Amino acid sequence: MLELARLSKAFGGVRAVDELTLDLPRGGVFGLIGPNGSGKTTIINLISGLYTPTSGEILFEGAKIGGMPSHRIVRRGVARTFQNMRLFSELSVEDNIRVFQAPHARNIGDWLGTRQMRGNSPLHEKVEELLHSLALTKLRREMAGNLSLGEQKRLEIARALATEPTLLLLDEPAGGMSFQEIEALGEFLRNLVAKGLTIMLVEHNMRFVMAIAQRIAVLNFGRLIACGSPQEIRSNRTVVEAYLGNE
Amino acid sequence: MGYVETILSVTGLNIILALSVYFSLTVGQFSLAQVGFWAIGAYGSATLTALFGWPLIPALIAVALVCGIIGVILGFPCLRIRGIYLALATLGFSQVATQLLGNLQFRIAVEGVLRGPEGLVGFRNIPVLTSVYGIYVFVALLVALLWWIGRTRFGMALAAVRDDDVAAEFAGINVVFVKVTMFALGAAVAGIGGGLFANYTSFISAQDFGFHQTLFSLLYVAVGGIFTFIGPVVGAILLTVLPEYVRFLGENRAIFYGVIVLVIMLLRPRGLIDQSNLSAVRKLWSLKTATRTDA
Repeated sequence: MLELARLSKAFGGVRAVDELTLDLPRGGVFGLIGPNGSGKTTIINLISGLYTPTSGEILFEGAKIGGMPSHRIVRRGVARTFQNMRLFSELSVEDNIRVFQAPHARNIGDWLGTRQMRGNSPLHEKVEELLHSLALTKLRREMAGNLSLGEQKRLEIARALATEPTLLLLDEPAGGMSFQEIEALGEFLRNLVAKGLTIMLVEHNMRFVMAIAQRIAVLNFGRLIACGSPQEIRSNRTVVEAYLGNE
Repeated sequence: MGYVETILSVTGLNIILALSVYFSLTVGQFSLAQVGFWAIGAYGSATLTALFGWPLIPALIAVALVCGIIGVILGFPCLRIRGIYLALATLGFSQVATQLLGNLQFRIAVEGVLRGPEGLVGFRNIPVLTSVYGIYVFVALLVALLWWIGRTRFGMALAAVRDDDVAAEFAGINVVFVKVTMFALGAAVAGIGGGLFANYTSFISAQDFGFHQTLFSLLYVAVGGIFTFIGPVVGAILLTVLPEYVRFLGENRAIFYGVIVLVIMLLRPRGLIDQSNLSAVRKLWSLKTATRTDA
């Protein structure tokens, strides 16, 4: 589904991602882990079009997307969330979700009509479904800036899903969430995967990643140091050294 | 032309100028180019109507198109800059446009009389083709358009771009297209405003499009507020009508004007109309509607 071929990104003299080659299969959760500064978020920024690769290729469904404007990548089916959330604080919860339906507002009526914003249109029904599945219905008219951290994280995911992606890039979705919220998030993501969604998950909460991901890639200094099942990663000596240091 | 009618007309024209600034502000772009477009619209419409005998509406459509196209051309490079740099670049455009037009000399004989722009002397004998009613019809159309946009998905996309253009891009919104569109629409509106101004006053000169006018276009919006189109409308009305009430201050009027702006900015830094008083009105409205439904 997604191929990264000798992908590199340099900021001045610092190579944040260095000759990375990865193949992401369709379906399931693909974990991306590594110590701070290992290049995880940079990879999400490259795939989603926020950064242009210094060299190498990014192929999504066989098409090159490296360096493409983000709004076109979203329309191809790649959605993302942000580690430092970027909610529209002056818009309500439901309007935050509605804005992310832009790829599915195809005609002038969808953009300039007011009927599609309420009533029985498919776009409106999708908003209702997302509000319900992420337990945001009661908060629908609340300004996004007034939500708690956990609620904001859920809204970020709801917004990304409103684009109806086939690949979802999650950048630390469990950060700031309570244990119960993380459990519910895990269940929710498993349901999405069961419906055919592919997820790339960047997360510091190891217990969460190990529980949910089928495959995990480990980065250090922008390079891939291991890739395999959670069991293989747990027992990989190079990974342990990267996290705990070498005596 | 009576005193009240003149004040009403000037207020209407200033509302148009303020709303033209608001168009690009809806996507977070602060443009000082509007007075430049206003001047292009004024000279363009004056030329078409006075020298070539065009009726007003085709002349206004023509200047709107010209200003819109210039807006697109200017809008693209302006996307690369923000804040003070964008303000300086657009101010530069305004100054170049007004200086060029203010020095323009192009006179031809119409029915045996030489007409046209005469450099610093200005452009005289422009046919009066509109009235206070014509100005307010356009104001009403603009307000209706902005009210409508605010209720649509496009309006929501504008609010998203203004709030965080990076996040808006990840919502699948073509931010470049949206920003350039709003910049060009603002330019077209300013062009029409300039056209109405010229065909209302019958005389225009470079002095009508000076830096002070740019400053006022900014103050209308800053004092009124940028959160909704009501803000620039309120700002333009207040800052046009208020000085008339203090004419007795004579030369000290400018000081009073400055103090008023300063006080408003200190007390309400986000402008007179902001999210808080709009939310209060909305809550009151929904309460009233709910009470009516219960009854």
